[in-house]
Amino acid sequence: MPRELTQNRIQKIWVPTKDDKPAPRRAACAPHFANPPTVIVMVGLPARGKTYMSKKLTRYLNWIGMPTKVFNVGEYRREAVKNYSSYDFFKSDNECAVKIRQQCALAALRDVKSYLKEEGGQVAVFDATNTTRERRDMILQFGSENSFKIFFIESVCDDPSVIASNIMEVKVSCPDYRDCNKNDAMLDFQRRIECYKTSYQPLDPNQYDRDLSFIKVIDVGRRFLVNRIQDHIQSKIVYYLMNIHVQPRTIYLCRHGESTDNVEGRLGGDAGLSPRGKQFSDALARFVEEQQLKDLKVWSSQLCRSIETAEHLGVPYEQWKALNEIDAGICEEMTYDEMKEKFPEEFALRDEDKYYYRYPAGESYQDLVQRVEPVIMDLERQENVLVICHQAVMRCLLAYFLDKSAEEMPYLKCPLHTVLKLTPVAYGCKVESISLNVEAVNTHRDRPEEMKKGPGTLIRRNSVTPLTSPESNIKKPRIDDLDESPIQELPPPVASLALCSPSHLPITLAGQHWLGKVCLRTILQYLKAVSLFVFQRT
Amino acid sequence: FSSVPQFCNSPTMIVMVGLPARGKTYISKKLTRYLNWIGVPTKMFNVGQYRREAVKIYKNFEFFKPDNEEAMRIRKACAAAALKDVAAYFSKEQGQVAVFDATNTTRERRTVILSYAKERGYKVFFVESICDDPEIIAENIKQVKFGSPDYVDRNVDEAMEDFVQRIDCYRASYMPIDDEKDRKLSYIKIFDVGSRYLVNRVQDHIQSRIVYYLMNIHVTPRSIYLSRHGESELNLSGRIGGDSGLSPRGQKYANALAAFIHGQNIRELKVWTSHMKRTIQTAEALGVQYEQWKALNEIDAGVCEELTYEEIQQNLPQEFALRDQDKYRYRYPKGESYEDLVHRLEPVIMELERQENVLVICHQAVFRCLLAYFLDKPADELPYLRCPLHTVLKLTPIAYGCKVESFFLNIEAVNTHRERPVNVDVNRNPEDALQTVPDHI
Repeated sequence: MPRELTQNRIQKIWVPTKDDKPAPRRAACAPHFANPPTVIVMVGLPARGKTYMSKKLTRYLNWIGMPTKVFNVGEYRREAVKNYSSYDFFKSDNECAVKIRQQCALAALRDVKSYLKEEGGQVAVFDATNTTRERRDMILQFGSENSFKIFFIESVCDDPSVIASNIMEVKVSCPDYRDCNKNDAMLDFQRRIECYKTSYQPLDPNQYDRDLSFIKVIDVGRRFLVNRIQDHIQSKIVYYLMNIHVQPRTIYLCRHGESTDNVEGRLGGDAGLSPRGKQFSDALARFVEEQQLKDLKVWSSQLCRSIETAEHLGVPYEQWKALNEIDAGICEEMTYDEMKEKFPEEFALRDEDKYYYRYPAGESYQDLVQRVEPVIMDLERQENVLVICHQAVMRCLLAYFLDKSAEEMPYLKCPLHTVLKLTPVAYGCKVESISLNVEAVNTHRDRPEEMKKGPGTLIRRNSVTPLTSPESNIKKPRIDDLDESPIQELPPPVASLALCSPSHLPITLAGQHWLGKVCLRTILQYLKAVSLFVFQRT
Repeated sequence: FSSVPQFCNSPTMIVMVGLPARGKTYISKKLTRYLNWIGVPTKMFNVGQYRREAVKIYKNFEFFKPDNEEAMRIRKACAAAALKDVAAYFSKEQGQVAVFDATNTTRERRTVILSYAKERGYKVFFVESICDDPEIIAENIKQVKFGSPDYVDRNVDEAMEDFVQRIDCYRASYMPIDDEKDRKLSYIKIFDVGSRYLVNRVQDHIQSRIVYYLMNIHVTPRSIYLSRHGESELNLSGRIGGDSGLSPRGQKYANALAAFIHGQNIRELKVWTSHMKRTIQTAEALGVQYEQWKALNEIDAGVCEELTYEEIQQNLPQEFALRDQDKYRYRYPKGESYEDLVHRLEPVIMELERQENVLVICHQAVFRCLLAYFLDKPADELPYLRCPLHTVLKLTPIAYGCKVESFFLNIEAVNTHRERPVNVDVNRNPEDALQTVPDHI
């Protein structure tokens, strides 16, 4: 006897009637990607872009619905050793520093294990230098004990200008150097790199590491060596890494000009521009000219209102069907009031879980993410692009760039007649919102008050559920948010020590005297405290 | 503007590099098939074929000896002729990608190609296949060389011996792409049938897609089973689209499919369905885990959803005629075209390439798109491929192509195949329009 099927109310996915509980893996929009969890292990000297790649990759994987988290060992070290004094900490003969660093790596791995085994994580990115075979063998052992797949990403770069630029962009402003001026920071950091160089054993595809799965990224993506891809997710990771670049560029996102349907409050459809919409399109043309960009690509959807907007720019543009607005199925061209009247249940369900909700015979935001993924991949390859799209689509794209979760995505504010200018900066994205001063209706519906709770029990958590990249376990001052200045409060300076051995006195940095008196007993007490702290982390 | 995003502006030459029996032609053909399917006009130019034209009868490996001056001249001329045809393909036939399939094992030859391309503004991307595993090479020779016109009069042992010596002729002068000297070139090196890749200077979108494709294909033997859902209620009444359940006969088919699959004794079979009830009901009968792909949903007929062809003719006669004029590109109002479908299905194809044994339970238009990919059918044939209900197609990759076995599971079903009518004029009369509509209730 065949099992009875019912269509679940929010996602409109057919499931066997009895099996209505939130089973995690069944009805996915695309096959679930990875069974055993994967640990991505970064490898490379400092300032080779490991953290940049870790964060970007994590953001991408979370957006496509693969729960991923970065574990940055440097952060663990900063937790353990409150004040960084100088590069001497990284000298390979600095025995107690070596111990501390080892403990930090182990602590991070413990958190990796917990994330992958107990917290529903699928991918963990282990962001550290991992430059010695010894360290990597330890990680491989850890992977093997826990049945995790291991995939290495090594960044190799010897171009001094690239390295100097990296240091300036992200190291000089990092917490380690908060009391330093730029030049001193640069100098110290370069010496730090030297500490690693002597013991650096790159991945060896010919002999020692030939059975491992890895990608070597050489010279910021000029060349790649890819060894033994095991599965779908590693293939996608490789494809992603091969498409991203670090050239400065700007992405402009905007919606089409106000349409006649917008004016009537109708969803979807394929209407043309209202007079104000046309005004906006002209204003957009002027705006684009003022930006004085070289080689701007213009992309629009295949719906009339975007194309009309693009036409006003008077430049070549490309049409992407994938950029079309979310398909509202049977609710196409209705107003919200009409929808509420004709399909009250559907209306309520949508507010209950706007991300997963699929219009009958239409799409959900979840479907949109899948549809829009090739656009993201191509955007990564491009340089300056203006994307003229629609409200829901723009929310999807924005969620990718700004690392917003599925919860937040359907409520991101993307008003008509406003251009969002996105510029990659350090580890993230700077956003500027530019209104072109042409009036338009407001099409934004906030999350209804009663609905401000978690998703319903009927929701299946499955792939293609964007998640915000999780914060690390450690409470650290946030430096990602570049609009804020780094938090200045510091733990009491003297007793907390970066160095253990009195013979390793720090170099005196210009204008600053880092260490006061060094007392051996204090050092030992501190170490005890640190090791207790580290071991308790389970 | 273009209706699909531009993948490449300048034409691109993909230049294969490698000793004989390293899979260059295999890769060339597969890549060409894939690129054409996704809508990038691509053509393969196999220099060996030009040589077979020029030198009607192949005697033995001595033709390939590096000191055989006469033969050298002929071979150079063949390469030049092929290059000329590449240029003609780009300039006169609107080709976008040309795959130049030859050994191209010397720097000299590659330099000639690079200059030729540079003069004309073509981009060049090298694909080098490196393999020293004697087992793989022997297997390649067996699979494709024995059947080649060169060895038509020889028994397998003679052919093997001759071919091995042929390879040796190339070996002495083989200069692989050099990671130092050639660092400015764009290329991918494939080692040991995909165990490792070296990718250098990917220039643009199409090269990036090519690299991704090459990294996902494999040569492990496996079979792909394609089937439509069992007959549905809407099928019975001749209605298109919708999301109805199985008819009684459709349910019978689902059970028969389960028995058939069981009988095939397939190792680690993955089962994929769409998000539509009829495919899921079919999969349910198998009693195994299956995965739902929205990308496998039937073509969206927009305003024509759930109509019969008669109703479409009555309400939208012009649309009906336009569809017959260009069934591949025709997009239903508020719906999709076959062209859109191909685009939508591309991630499915990519994942199918990665997988091993898979059963895909889908729908008529989707089935046609997938079949066209595997059997290299062009866009004008695609919408008319025959994909009857209650029939499983088993596709097994072999040599340069795909073996197809068709299994009708002996459960009657309506015919849903509509041939292209003779009269496709927008002003045709209803009889002409409805001439090829299959019977239904």
